[in-house]
Amino acid sequence: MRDQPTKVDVRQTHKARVVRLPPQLTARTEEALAPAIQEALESPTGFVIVDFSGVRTTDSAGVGLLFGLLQSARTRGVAVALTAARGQPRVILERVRLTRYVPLYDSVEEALSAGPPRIEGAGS
Amino acid sequence: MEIALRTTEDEITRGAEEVEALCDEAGFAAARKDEVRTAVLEALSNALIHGSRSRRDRIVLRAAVEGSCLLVEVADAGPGPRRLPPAPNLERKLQGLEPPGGWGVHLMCLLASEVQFLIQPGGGHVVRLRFEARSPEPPPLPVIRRRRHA
Repeated sequence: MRDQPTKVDVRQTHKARVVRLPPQLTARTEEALAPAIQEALESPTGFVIVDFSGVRTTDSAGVGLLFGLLQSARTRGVAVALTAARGQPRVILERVRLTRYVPLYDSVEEALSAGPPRIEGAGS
Repeated sequence: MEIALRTTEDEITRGAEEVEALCDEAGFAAARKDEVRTAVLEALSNALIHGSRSRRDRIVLRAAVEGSCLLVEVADAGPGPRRLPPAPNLERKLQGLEPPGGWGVHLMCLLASEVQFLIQPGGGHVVRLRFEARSPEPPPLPVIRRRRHA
């Protein structure tokens, strides 16, 4: 029962690519997730929404994974928004102050309505 | 509470859950319990990755409520850190000027009120975490102490 799926669900809307993360964003799942998350950045709309609604637990490896995603996104000029982080994952995102750099919305729909955030430092 | 955990992912998860259960005794709110579980899991993960040399090694987890505080110790067979990593610079990480990872010790400092690494004279080391009911602000600076022979 402890083994959690490490699949990243990706869907493309007309405005953004939506990446739904699995329940565990931890050292245990980091290796399996990293390629899928990087691939998700190949968004034709230049806007990726990272959906935390299914994430139950994250740790320092998960934080590193997110920063890796944000690094790559910035390099490629892709805008990123986070959505639906609740409980422990939200606490961690706020404590590492990631939410100062990336908007966190309550839902994917809200992020889609808001549109892509400005990319700070893009191309620098 | 003192338990010897085998060096597996499931065991360290079990250990973190045991500590989380003690948070009720200390009167911690739900959000603080999440923080405690996360910090303890970081310490246990470090013990699993850096402090275990064989499958026969055990990670010793001790936890106790003292007044309104929760004290946790994680002991392993590893040498402990030689030096502590600098606090992550978010902007530099986002620019790709620092590696994206390396959050473990910093995350413990963001969540625990006190973080100490105790290097044992005969080998092995202990991470000592102290939690108060409220999250630390500002985060404490971690400390390495090298114990001498008695």
